[in-house]
Amino acid sequence: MLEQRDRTRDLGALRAAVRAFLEAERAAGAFHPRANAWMGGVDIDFSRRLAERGWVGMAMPREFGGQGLGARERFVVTEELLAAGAPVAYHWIADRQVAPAILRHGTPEQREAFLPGIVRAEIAFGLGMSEPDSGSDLASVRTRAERVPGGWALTGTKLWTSGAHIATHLIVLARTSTTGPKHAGLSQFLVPLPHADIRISAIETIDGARHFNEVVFDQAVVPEDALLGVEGNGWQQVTGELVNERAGAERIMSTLPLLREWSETGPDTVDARRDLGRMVARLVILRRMGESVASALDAQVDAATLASVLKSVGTTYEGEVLDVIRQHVNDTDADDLLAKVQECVTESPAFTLRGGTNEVLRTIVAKGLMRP
Amino acid sequence: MTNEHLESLRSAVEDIVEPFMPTRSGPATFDAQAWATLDALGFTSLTLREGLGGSGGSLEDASVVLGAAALLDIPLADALFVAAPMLEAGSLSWPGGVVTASEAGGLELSQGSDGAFLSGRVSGVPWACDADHVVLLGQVPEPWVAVVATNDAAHGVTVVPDRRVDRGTLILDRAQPVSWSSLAPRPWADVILRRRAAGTVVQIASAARQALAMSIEHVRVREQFGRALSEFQVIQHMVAELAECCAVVDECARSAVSACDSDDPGDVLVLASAKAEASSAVHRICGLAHQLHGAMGFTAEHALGARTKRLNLWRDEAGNERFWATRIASIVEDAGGDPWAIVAPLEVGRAAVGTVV
Repeated sequence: MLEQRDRTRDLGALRAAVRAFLEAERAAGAFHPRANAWMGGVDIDFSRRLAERGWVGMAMPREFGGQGLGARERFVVTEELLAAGAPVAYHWIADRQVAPAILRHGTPEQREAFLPGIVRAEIAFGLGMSEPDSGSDLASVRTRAERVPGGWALTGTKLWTSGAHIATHLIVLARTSTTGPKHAGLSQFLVPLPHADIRISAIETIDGARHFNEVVFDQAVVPEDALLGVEGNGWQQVTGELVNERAGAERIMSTLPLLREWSETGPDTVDARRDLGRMVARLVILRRMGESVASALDAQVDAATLASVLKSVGTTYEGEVLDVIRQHVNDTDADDLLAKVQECVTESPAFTLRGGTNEVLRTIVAKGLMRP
Repeated sequence: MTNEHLESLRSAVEDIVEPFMPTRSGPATFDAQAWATLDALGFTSLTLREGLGGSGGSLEDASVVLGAAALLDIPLADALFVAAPMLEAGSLSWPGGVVTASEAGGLELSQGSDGAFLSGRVSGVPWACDADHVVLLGQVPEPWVAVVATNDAAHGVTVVPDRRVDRGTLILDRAQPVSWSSLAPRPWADVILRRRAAGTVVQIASAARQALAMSIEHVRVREQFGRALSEFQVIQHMVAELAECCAVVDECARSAVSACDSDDPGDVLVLASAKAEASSAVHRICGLAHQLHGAMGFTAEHALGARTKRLNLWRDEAGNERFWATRIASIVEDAGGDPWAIVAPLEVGRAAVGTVV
């Protein structure tokens, strides 16, 4: 119990430290809060300043430059970053899922090669998963990796690859065997960028943003040690990663900066106050569910189903927040809140798509429930 | 308390109440046998300390017992979440028999030469017509808790049924309480409302889980178009959505129980959020469960209705989602207008995230 109280106190102190840092950054004009900044807010210098304070890769062991802290400490830091609408996209993917994957599946050499760089926000990853013909049906990927003298040759196309144009590396899911069921014969590779035989081109999204890319591999040779984990074990490795990808606070809090901004204008009509209360109530309960997932990850409990539930409910909530605020603000307001909401509305279809559509998630949940 | 302790408590109570679980949806009638069974085993006074006739259980223990017995037509939530903690606050003993509880707003406790007495009316008392004792909480002239025997016309107590058969009105004419005590100042009416809300959320979570389990069972067994309903993807997604609602409501129950006894604004926010979210989930839960069951679940002889009818009552009990959402807006305003400052406070209250594992 004493240990528990100590940890709670430490979490409070950590939250206070992150919040103070963010307030100072904001006061200095280092960033302007915006919604969905974990996807759209790229600021390498900001990521490095966070890293200097130990808040990137903080769950990594000390020998790799991390702090050896747990999922709950990371949860507190990510919550504060999201609530502030801070530009964290540069390091987000590596911090969230690639570093844990390398720690879990990597060789000692790979850990040494990647983890300290991730913790310093010098190495940034893009996720080479989806393809032109493989979106929700991820196991059907066709990009192949063939053994060549001294390494592997990658051939194929990855699509909707967020941040590939700014990343230093990609983590690529590719087929290393075409025999057997589609979930077998997949492997993961750590691919450095830029690469002479990898072509990255931008895909503009409906919100006018450029974080999507098409990535074409043309017999791109990577060294032997680019293979992460066990050849043929890629599907198990990726689905483990997806729990981290789906369970985070960014599936609840992408639009929280706008909810805060609206709330601070002092909604005072009966229906505005009720709507504010509704949105805050859902935030309170969903973040407590998120904390439960973080606790489960800390305790090495399988949290895949709960993570899927949380992502489905949480991303729906993110869109609802926009739909509510929209009805209570107008363009005569002193600030540009309505414009920010409208801008975010055009980004919002991504909420329930990225990281696995809600339909894929519901299929996962149903399979778990209906298992005889 | 450990998880194993709570799990064994849950399964013990589930076995005990199994014979009393409703198998069809009929009008609520008091289940004297169910009360007597739980009472004989000490579950009704679980949350009162041992020296006062209880067994010193926590609200978390109580939530497990109440969850298992949520559907029974007895004032168990009132006993565990209101009566016992109020008796505890006043250091009064468990009065025995069927015990219920109510807030008694403007009722005045007067003191004459022959002791204390109460005069006035208290409406909406849960199961008043079937109770032996009512634990009342009043604020006039100072906060007090009192136990009144209901079958005591000689001492000025009359009980009449309300429009709802599970509610009644106490008419007190210089009624002498069996026991009473003054209380230290606290927003007692709100404390009781929050405890009732927490008990209700526990009941909602329990009935929702049962509706989900029944729905899964039904779609596995029921065949249409030559295959089990569970083989249709549209059905699978509906079941998954129902499970999502249940996961949310489960969190509401845990949150409500951990927060309901604290006056800290951050904890009140957690409780308010739990009741608002649980109440607003009921529409979806009942809709999906009935849709999955088709016409079968719509008949009085089917057990689903016994769950959904209660869910529809409980969402309005102890404040509906509109009531609590408005309260939340006030909490946010009082905290300065930024919801994050109160949702994730630096000074953490009892139910803060990170304190419950």
